[in-house]
Amino acid sequence: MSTDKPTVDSSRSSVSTKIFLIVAIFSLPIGVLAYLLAANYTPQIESAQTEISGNAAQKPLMTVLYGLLSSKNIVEGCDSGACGEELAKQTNLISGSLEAAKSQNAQYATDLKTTNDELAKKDHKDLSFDALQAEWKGLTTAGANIATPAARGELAAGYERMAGHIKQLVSYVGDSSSLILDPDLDSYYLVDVTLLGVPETITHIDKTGAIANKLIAGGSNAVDQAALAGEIDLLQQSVDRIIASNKTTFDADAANHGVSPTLQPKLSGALKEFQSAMASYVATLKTVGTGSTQVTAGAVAAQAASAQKATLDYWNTGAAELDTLLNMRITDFQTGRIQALGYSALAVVVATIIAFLIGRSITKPLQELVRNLGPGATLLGVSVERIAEASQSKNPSPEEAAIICEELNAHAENMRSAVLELARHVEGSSAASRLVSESTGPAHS
Amino acid sequence: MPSPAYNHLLSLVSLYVDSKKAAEVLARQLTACKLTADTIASADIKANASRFTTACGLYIADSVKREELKERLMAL
Repeated sequence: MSTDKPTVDSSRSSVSTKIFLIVAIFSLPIGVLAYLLAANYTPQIESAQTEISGNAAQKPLMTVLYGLLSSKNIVEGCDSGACGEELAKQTNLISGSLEAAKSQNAQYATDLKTTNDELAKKDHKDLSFDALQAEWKGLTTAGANIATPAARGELAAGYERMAGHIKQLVSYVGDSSSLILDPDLDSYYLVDVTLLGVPETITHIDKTGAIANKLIAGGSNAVDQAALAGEIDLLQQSVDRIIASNKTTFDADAANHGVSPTLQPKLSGALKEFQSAMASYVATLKTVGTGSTQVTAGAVAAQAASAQKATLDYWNTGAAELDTLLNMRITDFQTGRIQALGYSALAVVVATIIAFLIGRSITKPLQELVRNLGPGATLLGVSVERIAEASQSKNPSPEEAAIICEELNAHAENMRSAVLELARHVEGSSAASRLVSESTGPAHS
Repeated sequence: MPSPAYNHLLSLVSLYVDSKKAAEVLARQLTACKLTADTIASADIKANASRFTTACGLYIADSVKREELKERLMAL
């Protein structure tokens, strides 16, 4: 009898391990897809966050723009030079807002590319906050002496020049913060209002006010009359554009990351007040130089100031609502990212559970076979040993022979069942039936 | 319900042979002796100890352990 013991190749993995590896291999692409899906949300979230930064940076700048153009209107409508008190009010507003804009810039400068170096690189050195503060310092010094018309004219030109710089900076921030490339229809049209429509309207209010003052001061002439009519048209177009963009924002709100609870309630009121102030201002402008009604420079200035204030209020409400829309978008994307990762993890877990169950259904009959074959090897070895001993014995025990036969027969039955079960698992029921018919032939004949 | 004597016998055999296989082997031998697990008594075990040892011994490769089981069964 051979004493060689069977060897086991320890480097071979078990069936369960192999099934687990198959699941792991299939989980890998799911993991990669989940990563790519989640990674796809990240730039969109970051872009919305940069837009919020851009919007925040614009808020004090718009107040500065409003203050500068209001100051210009005050100075232009100030015949005697006794408008110091009104001007001081605007000067304080501009100084405070410029300071706020500068401190906000310290927070967002890198993201919005508004550092001195970045602006210099893009040929916008005069838009840096240092340059703007220096420009403003010059204007406040000049504002102390506005007794002569020449000084007032020079100061008004200075205000206009700085307002131009602020408008350029607003536009630059709109570009660098990607506000101009906003991907959603509702926020895109709100950006159109805050970034383009309102600054344009404030400028047209200023221009129309200036021409109207000229007409009132110098009497009616055809050239200025035509210029005023042209500016009124541009102002009206600008107002119409804001109203149309505002409407699109309202219409598109529901389709983009859900309905904002504050957009319509808050912005509708602000729009109404803006429209009303603009209608009054345009109506007043249309009477200037016609000779039908005597309009004073003070009345035009007051209407212009009221229109500019309503425009700024509308802008502030719009900017706040833009923040709400952008925050809703960020929340939506963050939820989407969590859902993508959660569903992917769930898919992997479900696949693992199913693979575990399938794996168990495969390994169970194998374990049964191992359980039957294991003691069977010992049984055969010992049986052979006993039969050999009995063949040499003078008095062989018939009881022992019967027990050996009985156990061998039982073992053969067990093996047959295990092989059938294995065949059923490996090749299906038909192969198992074929094996049954084959095994029942010679064994039971 | 198996008798205490059967449980004792099974636990002893299970020390040498896989318990499931031990139960199978003992079931066959009890049938051959016209006994049942529920009714078998210590006296029956003693009377058939040789048969149980022979049957269970077929599943024990080590002859020393086979002898040990035989002795313990006889001592029951």
